[in-house]
Amino acid sequence: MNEGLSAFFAQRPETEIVIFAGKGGLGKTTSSASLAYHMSQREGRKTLCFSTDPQASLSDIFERDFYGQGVVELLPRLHVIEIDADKRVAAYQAEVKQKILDMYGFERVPEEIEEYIDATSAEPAMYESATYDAMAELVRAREFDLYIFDMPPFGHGVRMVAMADILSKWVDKITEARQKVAEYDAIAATLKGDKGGDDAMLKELIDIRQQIKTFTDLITDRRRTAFFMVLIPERMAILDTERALRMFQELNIEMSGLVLNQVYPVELLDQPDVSDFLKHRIEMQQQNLRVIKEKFGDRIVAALPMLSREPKGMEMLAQISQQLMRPTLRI
Amino acid sequence: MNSLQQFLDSHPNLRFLFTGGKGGVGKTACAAALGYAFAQQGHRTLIASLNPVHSLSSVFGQELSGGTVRPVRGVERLHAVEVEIDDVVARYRDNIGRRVKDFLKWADIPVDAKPFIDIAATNPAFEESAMFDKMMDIILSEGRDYDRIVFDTAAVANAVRLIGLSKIYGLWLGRMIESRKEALSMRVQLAFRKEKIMEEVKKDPLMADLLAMHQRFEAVKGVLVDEQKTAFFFVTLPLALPIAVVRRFISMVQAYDIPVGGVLVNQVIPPELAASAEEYLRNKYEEQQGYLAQIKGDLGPLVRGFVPLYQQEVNSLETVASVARDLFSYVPATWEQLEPRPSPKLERVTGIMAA
Repeated sequence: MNEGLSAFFAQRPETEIVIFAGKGGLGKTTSSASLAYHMSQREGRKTLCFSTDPQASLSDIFERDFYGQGVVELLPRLHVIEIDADKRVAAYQAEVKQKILDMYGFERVPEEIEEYIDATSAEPAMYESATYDAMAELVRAREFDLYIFDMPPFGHGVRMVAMADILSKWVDKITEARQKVAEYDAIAATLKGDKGGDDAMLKELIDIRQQIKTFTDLITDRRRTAFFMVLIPERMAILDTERALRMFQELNIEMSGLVLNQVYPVELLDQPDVSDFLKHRIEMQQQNLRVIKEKFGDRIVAALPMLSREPKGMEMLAQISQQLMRPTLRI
Repeated sequence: MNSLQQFLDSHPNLRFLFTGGKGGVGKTACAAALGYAFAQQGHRTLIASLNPVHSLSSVFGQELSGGTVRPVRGVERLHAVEVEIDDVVARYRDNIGRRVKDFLKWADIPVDAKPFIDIAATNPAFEESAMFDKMMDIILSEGRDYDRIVFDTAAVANAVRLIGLSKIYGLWLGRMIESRKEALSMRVQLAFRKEKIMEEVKKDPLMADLLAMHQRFEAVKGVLVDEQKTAFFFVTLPLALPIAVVRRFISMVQAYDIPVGGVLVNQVIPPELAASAEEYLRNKYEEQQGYLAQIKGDLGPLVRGFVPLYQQEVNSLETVASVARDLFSYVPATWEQLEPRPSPKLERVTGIMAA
């Protein structure tokens, strides 16, 4: 327990993808940014830190605005990206419109179709699949030694994986339906005496499914991918973690470990001027820590102290990453 | 500063409130406190959690889960529900299934409805649509018996997307109705005995259904953009990241014409607490003063209430009551004197555009 992420990576040298999941506000983005800092600056690995959080907090943590700017190298080997899903959705729409123009030889997209394509951008699924595509694309390009994903807080971020499953089923269904139609078309074509052409649309669908499958396989590959969950010593977080662990099990994903964040060092109580506020807080946390150790003690990979300043800026990240890799906090 | 009570007094017909903000800022605690305060003021109130992961039970320290409306023990006129996404999705699916089957029967198309239903129900946005549908139910029918309904919504983007979804929902329905009308009138034109067909057309279940859905949808949209009836409240902490999120979120909802009720600032360290304390808290206090000045500079006119930093978790009726009291009355001692200072703009960094 609490041996740090250094010990974890020593045991799992083949890890290429690290995903931090958990509810918002517990320290997912901080953990992602700190790990990226450590791996790129102290272990010489070319690292990409990717935030899938639509709240763009990675820019805030690094104190530089790179939202929607593509991959940016902030320090040697430390690359970050915060995708602007809106922009990607717009690009996708433009592509669809172009296809329609090419296919039908139109001069311009008919108003009705245009309206429909534009409306689809409000679909939450469009956002998620844009994010998802970006993740898959980056991993496929293999330009980095390590990919760190800061998951969005929808239902613990596990939804991303469940999503892959759903998308895959959906493509299956549509493919099946299209295939039937294609068979009929081929028969009809034979009867009419021309030979059945390629079904470009079907081919595209099958390609999409292949992409999804590749990525889902990677994410659920225990050798290459590590999933960590972040929690804090509060009762609510304990309940959430239990629920999330069950969800992970259902999705057949192995939870690599838990990062325990925002812990007040118990030594603070020995200070001469300790306030009642801190006493209460520490007592409450100690109670919850007992429960945490009993329920998931063997899964805690790192415990991080509560900070007195907001965790942002390189200096802070350097400090936090030391604690993340080799914790000194006793719990 | 326009206080929470002043805002409520100037919006006597307010019925629907939403709380949003970055994770971990205390959205649920604020939603619970608002609901509690309304009930205390004599309004029949419902708090509905639409999150994928619920916290209402933990905040009130009593069992409110299971997806049915339950009275909150110890507070008259207050009810709560933690909407179970699985139930909602299952019901939504059954509904759609029934519609598809009815239609196929009516149209006399002898095919198996299952594949159609499967395609609809495995659409990746199905869960959101189902949740939105549930919210519409609460707004239009289930919430009928309440004067005020507080929705505790998931993370920022989810709430907005739920509303964004409403746009496509409307367009899609409008289009479906149009094309259905066309198809029906074609039948009438082609039919040998027009009056016979006309009777048939009037019985078209799909048409009736679509029209009903459309009306329902328009009604909800009307409510959501009505600033007399609806208000979005954003919760922030005196810290850079939560402030940035609230600013982004406000511009997002305004793009959808959703009325912003105001901003609530949580976990403010009182000066007396910092004065008597160790270095740790003093550092935090100093940091907060800077961020309070930023809140004043960025969001000043929208700030409606504050909650001081508590010694314990909000996990009981007593603590919820205390948050409610503070929201309506507490103002940090330094707030009035603080010099407003807008957030600094982050330096823009560009990289190689990734595909």
